[in-house]
Amino acid sequence: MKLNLLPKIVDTTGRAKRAFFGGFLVLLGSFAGAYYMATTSAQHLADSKAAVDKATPLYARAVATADEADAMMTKPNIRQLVVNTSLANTMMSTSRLYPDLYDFVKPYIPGFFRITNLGASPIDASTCTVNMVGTVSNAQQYADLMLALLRIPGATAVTRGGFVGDDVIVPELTLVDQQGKPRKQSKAAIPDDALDRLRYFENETSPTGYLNSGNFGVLEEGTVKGVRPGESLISVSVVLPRGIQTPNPRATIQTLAGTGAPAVPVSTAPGGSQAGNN
Amino acid sequence: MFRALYPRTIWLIFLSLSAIILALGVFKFWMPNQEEATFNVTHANSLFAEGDKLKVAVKKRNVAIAAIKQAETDWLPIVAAHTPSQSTENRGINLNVNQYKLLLDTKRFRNSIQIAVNNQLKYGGVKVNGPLVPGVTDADEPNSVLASYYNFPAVPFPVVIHDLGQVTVTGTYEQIMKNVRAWDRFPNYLAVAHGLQLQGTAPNLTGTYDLTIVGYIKYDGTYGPVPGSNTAGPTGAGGGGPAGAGGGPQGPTAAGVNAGGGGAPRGPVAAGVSKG
Repeated sequence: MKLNLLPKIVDTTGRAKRAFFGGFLVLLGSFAGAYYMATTSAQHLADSKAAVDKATPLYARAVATADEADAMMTKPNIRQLVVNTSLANTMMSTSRLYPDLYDFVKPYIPGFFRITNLGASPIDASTCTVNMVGTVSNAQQYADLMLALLRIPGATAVTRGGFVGDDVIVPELTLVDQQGKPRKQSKAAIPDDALDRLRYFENETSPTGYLNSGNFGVLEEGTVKGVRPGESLISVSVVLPRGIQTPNPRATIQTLAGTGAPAVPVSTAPGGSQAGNN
Repeated sequence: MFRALYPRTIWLIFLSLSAIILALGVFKFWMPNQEEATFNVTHANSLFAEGDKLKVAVKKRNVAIAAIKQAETDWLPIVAAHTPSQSTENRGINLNVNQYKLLLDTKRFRNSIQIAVNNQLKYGGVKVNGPLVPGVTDADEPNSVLASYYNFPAVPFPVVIHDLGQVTVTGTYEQIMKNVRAWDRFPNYLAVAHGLQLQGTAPNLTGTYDLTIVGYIKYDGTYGPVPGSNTAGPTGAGGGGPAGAGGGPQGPTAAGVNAGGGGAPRGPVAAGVSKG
């Protein structure tokens, strides 16, 4: 009988040896993995840096070009030139905006609408409101006027107000008028009784002379003719796609304040030599 | 030695070492590099995206150049037709005089503006209730005239701006339209007539509109403040030396256009532009 003096933990079957080699292989594999990670990621990093290096000049060139344009336009003297020229050109073409607008609208104003006031105001850079005040004789004209103004090319809205109608209506039955005799809305009921009806019509007021209504009897030149009997003074607004905004020269020029020092020097003393002339 | 260890112990040792090495590879190299690479790629893509805007930038620059050239082209005829003369003899104003004289000249210049406005207001055959052009008085501080009347140097070039308020004209529709349109051609000045309203009964109409006039002043220099005055005068850039090269007459020139050397002809000046 052999005496086994080895401790029980000592491997005698070669499993420890295999474990050692196996573990060693795993260790080598981990080295290889670590190496792969280091080299691959370094390559990625290098590639990405190369991409950045390649893109940077393109970016710099684009930015420089854009900055050049900005710098060009923001140079004080250039900005003054551009703003002043733009302002001057605009000023030389805006005084005709209102006359052109009125000439444009005028053909569409029907003859029965007697205008006493014509104005316009801008809504924004491309739309405006034309306001008209005038007289119409009846509800039919009041309605026709809207249709006529909607014929203005581009008119997007027409609003109206102020008409006071006095239509002939069939009234409700009352004790004095059991037939509902048609009458003007503003008048009292026409009595059924013949004598009362006679008194009713006798009591109706009627003009005894020239009314001079609406200054129509005034011969003085330039007198504004107002509302005639039976007419209504109405106001109409038409929204049109036309820009009538005008420049504000003071505000525009004041935006140039601080854009640069005066370009022409100042003489140093009164009575001295004039700057720049010697 | 390993024979004294359990196999699983050996495996644990090697696996632990391997894990340490792999962790080193992941945390020391892989993750930082990949993160930086991702950042670089994103950065590069954004740079490429911006770089692709080069065409737009070039177009923008060309538009700017064209706008400047157009402005230079447009400005010269404006100066010729819509700025007052630099000669006081010709209803204009010369700023390059001492402040006492400038005050007197400005009073005359105001009258010249009023004459121009009055003439223009009558255009078309209308009857006018016109505005008064503001002016200066002898009580005004001479050193403040440049600032108060010519807005200089608050604005980098001298300019008169008068908001004249409401103008009332009477006439026929055609006369009033003609009158308002004519402000586009206001000689020696620029004007804006706006807010036109018509009232009345044809043919006798009344038109009201707001009027603003602007006069860009040609100048080749200004004097410093006169002594003994309470108000500090306007200060400008530079000292007393000529701005023009070559020592010739400092001929004003259009903005953005260099007049070159001395002896250049004296021409209309564009606001706030030096001649080099």
